[in-house]
Amino acid sequence: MYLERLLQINMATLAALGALLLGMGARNENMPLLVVAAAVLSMWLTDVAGWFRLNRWVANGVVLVAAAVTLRAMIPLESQVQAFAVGWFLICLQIVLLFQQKDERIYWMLVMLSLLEVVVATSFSQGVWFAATLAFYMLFGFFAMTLLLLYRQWEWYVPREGGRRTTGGRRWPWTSPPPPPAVEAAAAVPAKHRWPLVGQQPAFVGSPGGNIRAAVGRELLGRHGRMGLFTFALTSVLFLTLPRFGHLGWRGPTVRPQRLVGFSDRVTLGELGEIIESRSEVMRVQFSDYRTGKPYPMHGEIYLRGAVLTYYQHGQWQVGHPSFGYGLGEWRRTTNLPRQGLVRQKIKIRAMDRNELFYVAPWIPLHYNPDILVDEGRQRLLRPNELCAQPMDYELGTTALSQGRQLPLLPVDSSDALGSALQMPPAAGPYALPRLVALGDRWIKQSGLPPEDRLGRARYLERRFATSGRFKYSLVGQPRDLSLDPIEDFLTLHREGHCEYFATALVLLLRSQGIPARLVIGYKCDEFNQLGGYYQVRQWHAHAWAEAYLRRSQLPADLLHGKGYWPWQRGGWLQLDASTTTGAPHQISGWLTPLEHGLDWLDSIWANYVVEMNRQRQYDAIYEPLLRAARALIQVCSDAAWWRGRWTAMVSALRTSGAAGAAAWGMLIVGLLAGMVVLGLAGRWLWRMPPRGWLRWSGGRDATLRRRETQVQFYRRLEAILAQHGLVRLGAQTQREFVLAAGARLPATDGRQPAALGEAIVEAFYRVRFGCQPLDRSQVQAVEHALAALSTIPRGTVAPASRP
Amino acid sequence: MFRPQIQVGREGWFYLFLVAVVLGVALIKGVNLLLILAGLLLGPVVLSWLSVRSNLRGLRLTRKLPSHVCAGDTLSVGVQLSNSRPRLGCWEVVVEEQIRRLGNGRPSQPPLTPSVFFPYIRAGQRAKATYRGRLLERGSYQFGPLRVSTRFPFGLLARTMLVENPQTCVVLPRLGRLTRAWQARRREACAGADRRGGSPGPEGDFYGVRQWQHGDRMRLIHWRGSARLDRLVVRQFERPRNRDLALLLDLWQPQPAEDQHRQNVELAVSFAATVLTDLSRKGAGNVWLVLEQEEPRCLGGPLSANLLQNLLEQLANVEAQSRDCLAALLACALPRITAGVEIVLVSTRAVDPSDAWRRASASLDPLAREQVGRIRCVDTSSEELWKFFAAE
Repeated sequence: MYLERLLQINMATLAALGALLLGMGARNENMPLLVVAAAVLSMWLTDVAGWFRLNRWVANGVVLVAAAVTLRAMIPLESQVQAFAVGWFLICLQIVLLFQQKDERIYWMLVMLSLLEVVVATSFSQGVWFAATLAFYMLFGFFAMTLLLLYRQWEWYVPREGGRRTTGGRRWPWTSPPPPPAVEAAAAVPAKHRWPLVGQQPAFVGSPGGNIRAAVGRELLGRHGRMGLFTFALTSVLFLTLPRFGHLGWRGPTVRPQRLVGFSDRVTLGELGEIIESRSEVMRVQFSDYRTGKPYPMHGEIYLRGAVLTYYQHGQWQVGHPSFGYGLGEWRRTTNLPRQGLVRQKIKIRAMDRNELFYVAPWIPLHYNPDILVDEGRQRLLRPNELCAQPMDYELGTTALSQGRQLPLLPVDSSDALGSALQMPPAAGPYALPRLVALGDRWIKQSGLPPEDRLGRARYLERRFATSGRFKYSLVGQPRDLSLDPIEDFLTLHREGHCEYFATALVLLLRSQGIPARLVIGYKCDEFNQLGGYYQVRQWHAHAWAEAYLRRSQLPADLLHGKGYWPWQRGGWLQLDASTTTGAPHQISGWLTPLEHGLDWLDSIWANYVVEMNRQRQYDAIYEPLLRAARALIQVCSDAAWWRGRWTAMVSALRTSGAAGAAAWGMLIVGLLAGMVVLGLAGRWLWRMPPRGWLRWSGGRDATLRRRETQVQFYRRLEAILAQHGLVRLGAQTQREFVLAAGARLPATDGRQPAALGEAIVEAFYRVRFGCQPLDRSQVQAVEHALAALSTIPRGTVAPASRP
Repeated sequence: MFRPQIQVGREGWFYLFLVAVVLGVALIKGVNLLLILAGLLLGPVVLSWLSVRSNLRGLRLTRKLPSHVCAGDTLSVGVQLSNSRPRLGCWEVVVEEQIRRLGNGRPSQPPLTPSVFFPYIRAGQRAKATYRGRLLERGSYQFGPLRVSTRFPFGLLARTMLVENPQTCVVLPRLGRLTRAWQARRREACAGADRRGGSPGPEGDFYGVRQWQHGDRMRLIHWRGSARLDRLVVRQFERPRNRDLALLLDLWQPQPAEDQHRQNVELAVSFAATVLTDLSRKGAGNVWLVLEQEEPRCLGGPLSANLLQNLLEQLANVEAQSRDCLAALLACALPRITAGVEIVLVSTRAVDPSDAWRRASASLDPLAREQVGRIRCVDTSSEELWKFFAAE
């Protein structure tokens, strides 16, 4: 019972872990919850109390229905998502089995089902937690299989009332011998026979020797721990060394892509109530120097552009005037890259329900990437819709990073329509913004800056939001006067709002003063993972900001970048962020920060070097360093100059007097001793290995065994000959005693005493059997002659046994 | 002699197939997680191979077997497994015995394979297990070789070693119960033998005196004692009773034999063994057992425990004959059996010894003829057997 209970608990845990792994892949929390509930209930109702057990036919019926439903559900789905349906079917099978009365067949099927669940789970893209759960699953799986093995044998041998245990299911037929009938059952005497034993079969029952509690103690746990470590090592070696055939690593189907909650290409003020922030990750951004490839050190926050909006009307931003039309452009490959200041931005974006790609502007194409589309109208980079459901890696260049900070100045693109950047709602009518214009005029008047100083005016308006003290950043939805434009309400009545209100207000204020401006939406991130050296952009980092156009003469020199590459003569866009508070609520503070960053880094490593390991990455990360190390080693070993240098250094060190010389001598002695030990061990290994290896290769070991076995067969022949005379060795007799006693009762043959003949054979038997010494040809012939002589003794000539 | 071998069970084949599929799909499709899973699945295979190789190392196996047992009685055999390794325990070891019946001319039957299970043996310790059962046919049985196997830790691979440690156990004939009718008949036979043995008299050893009674012979009077006691006392002698018995076993059965005939043979052997055991228990004189083993054999002497054991072993191994051996049995027995000994012929058929003697023998020895005439027959094929014997 103890073993069975242990097995039941282990199986329930294994089933729950399998379902958990599947649920992690399918991003479905119902799967593990359902199986955990079923496991707990089945333990209580079915295994312990025995109140509820699914009949076998009912269970089969349920399984058939589940199979039919699964098949029906699989037909309309895409092939990748069919794995999800298969997973549900496996869960259903598992639950049915959990509520059946368990026998070794059911236990084995539970193990296999959970394993199949894990197989299905691996087809999904999984994070680093999958690895941790898989490790636990493996250990529980090992223990479950061992317990199942012990349970089978123990249940088979343990004596029970009424004979062998046959209730509750059948003996798993794969490995078991046919069940012997119990001794008690065989003792029934048929009445019709005269001889009472006729019609009965000989029966034997074995009992287990030992205590099962001792078998599943700490030593077994320790052994499984060691086996787990061995398996980890084996798996690591296999994983790293087995060659990959594909250029792309499998990313698996994503059943439910992550919803991009903070970003949209259409901004509607007042549309949202309270904004719920999500900390789920959107992308990771890593910067490195394009020339050297070394990580580019960054400080502070970065702005990742998603889309540009220029047309505003009554609280709603659009990409341009509705009649505006742009198509998707193709990826332009740049041949002449900036000579200096070029930084590579390597971005890994998660599976999302939108196809925008984000970047630090201005972007420079470093190499051709067919998976990136360019939307020139909105100045967006897009990925094809079919790739949205998978994570994607892409690389771009930028010159906007200098001295670890992002420069807030962008060159003007040829597609930029500066006219639309001055678009304002009509001065009269329902969409007019008289209060906004008046406020702008008042602030500019207060600034006292001339109209030519666009930079100063833009900066002044940006600062006013922060310094006036009247505006407050808030994610809580505010009551708005619906008779007013939302931005007028924000500027005059309810001065609380999120980043879109601040950015919109700034853009419209700039436009009201004749400065072209536009709204940019994207992400603003300051969460830098020190371990991984990347920015981790989450949903809550979604942001909106303003950009104001400056003429060439107004561009601040210290903000210019990519000189000679960007056409600064057209002017530039100055990045302005009017939000009074950004980022602060998102900071992870306290002791959790390193832990959080460590886990994120592990997840990054897992994703890069495990889940998405492909041929190129394997070569770069494993083969190439190994080859390089091997080449270096060979080069060093074959370099006579290197050896000469070492020798000279050693000799000079030995000649040194004082502590340095003593240390050199000590190191020399230790090195010589270590070398001798290593050489001795190697020699011993070489001395032993060749014969063993040769024997194994040539089948010699087996041949030796066979020869020895053949040589002992002669003793069996001797016993067979003597048994023909009714002479059988008793249990208490040694072979020699038996042969001497039997020889005394047999007549002489050809003048030779049978006892002497038998003793010669026994001598040879002892030599082979216990001395492990093979017989030479003459000895084999002597044995054969003795056997031949003994076999000629006629039957019935055995003298009666001597009487005491 | 150890002949280790590693086998893959059906579960193992299924598991290997699964591993191969997972590994193949992982490599072809480039699914790295599946490749990791394949590695984790491959681990148990390698571990099984290593474990089953090491799990049986350092084990010593001994068997405790009784030298003989009666057919149908419970046989209990102890198996002891010692783990001589200093640190490593040993799990899940199954020891399977192979029991074969020895003997010529028997149709080869599959050996009996009782087994015992050792769930765990601590390092440096030993464990004992027992298997018990019944062997229903008399004869010599060879126990061994022992098949030691393990499938630890996962049951995927099995390693089996053959430990050739053969031992022999003789299964003696099953003993029945002699009825009172047999005892009475035996007493009559003894009395008859005494009468035939000559005139009563002081033939035995003197052991005491008693008061004279009417009818006592004068020459038995112990005069010195009578004078001392002042009354007539007579000498008393131990009166030897002739309890000698010769059992002739005629195990004839036709060819081909039916079940009924085989049962008659077993009844005859069991009856003979029961008679011999009964005689030994009650203290008999000389006993002869004459039976046919290729040729007639006559074994006998003063009945002792050793002789009884020897005779029972002979009975355990005796085989039925399809040819008529009765005359040969008589020819072998009669010259060796002294006069006055009760001769009982246990046969599986209705026979007339005189007729058989007359037909087969040219001897006109009157003493032999007289002995043949005194042979009492027990036919195990007739219902008369149950008057003397109850098979249990």
